[in-house]
Amino acid sequence: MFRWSLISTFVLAACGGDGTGLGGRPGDFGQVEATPECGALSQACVGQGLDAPIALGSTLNVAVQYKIPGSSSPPITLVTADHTVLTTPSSTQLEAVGEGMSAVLFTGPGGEVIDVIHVFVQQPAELRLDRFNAAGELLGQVQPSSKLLAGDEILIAAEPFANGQPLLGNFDLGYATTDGAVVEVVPDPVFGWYRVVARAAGHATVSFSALGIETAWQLEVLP
Amino acid sequence: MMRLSIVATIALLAGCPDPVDPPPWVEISAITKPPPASSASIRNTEYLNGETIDVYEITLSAGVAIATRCADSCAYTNSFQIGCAGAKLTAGDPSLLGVWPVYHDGDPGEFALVASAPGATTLRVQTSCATQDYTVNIVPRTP
Repeated sequence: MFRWSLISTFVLAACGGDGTGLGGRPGDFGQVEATPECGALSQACVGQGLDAPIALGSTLNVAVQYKIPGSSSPPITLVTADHTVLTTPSSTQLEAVGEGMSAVLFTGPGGEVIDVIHVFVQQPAELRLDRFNAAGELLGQVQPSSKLLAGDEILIAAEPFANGQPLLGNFDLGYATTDGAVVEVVPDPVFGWYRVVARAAGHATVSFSALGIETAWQLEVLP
Repeated sequence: MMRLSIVATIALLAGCPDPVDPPPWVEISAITKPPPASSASIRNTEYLNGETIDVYEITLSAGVAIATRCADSCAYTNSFQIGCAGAKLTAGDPSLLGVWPVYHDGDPGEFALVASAPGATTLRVQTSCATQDYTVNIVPRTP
């Protein structure tokens, strides 16, 4: 038995890993590459691929690329290890139901595991509002209170953070304004975008809520 | 016959090694690693005070999936191959430990062990060569 352990060690040391990643990270086998599909403005998605934890309470659609030469991709189904952390409402969607970590198996039609990735779920601590220009480029985080001119239209996205790290996931965003005649929030047709429109001079507080967190934005609209 | 028994008895009394072949064996080893703040270990044998002791114990953090490779003495003796064709892995409690075949380099002797929930169970590894039972402990992941 010692012989087997010794030979195995030499073989692993000589061969090394494949080096191909899952969403930018080296996967266990490098045979599947997966990227998250989330809001167009999500920093976690755009900047880091699958390299961020998923926000507790959110869902994540996963796009899978099959990397093994010789065949097209077989139908791939996601299977999670710990159902108290991650569930799979559909074959390519993850739902974060509990804090922790769970393996996600990429399984083929015969029930074989083609690849594995471990995914973390974290409780968000902050809902951050980021402002973007019309081209979708990040301008920066909005201040807790701002002044706008009547007629201004601000494109924003809300994103959950924990310990300064953006979290992955899609979620329902609630929004409200204390005075809709002064400031109105209009969801953009693009998922994850919201337009804050200054209608008339006055004061209003716009609040956004998601995943059990609320953030307020105090606005003064100047004539 | 009588003479053979006498010779064998004398040889044993003289301290000669037992001429019987070692029993066939089968075991698994991990070929992937767990993520941070998690554990995954497969212990087959250990050396203590100059002796080899059978352990056959698997410890996994809940939520971890590791890939393993099977090997048995028959494949090793016949062709020095690392692997064992036709291996069958069976978990004592599939609600705690999942066993999945792995599609990787066409090797049929690779399996994923998936720790679904904390608890204790067993894993039986069978080939036409040998059978080995492991104790499996699935522990809560470190926060």
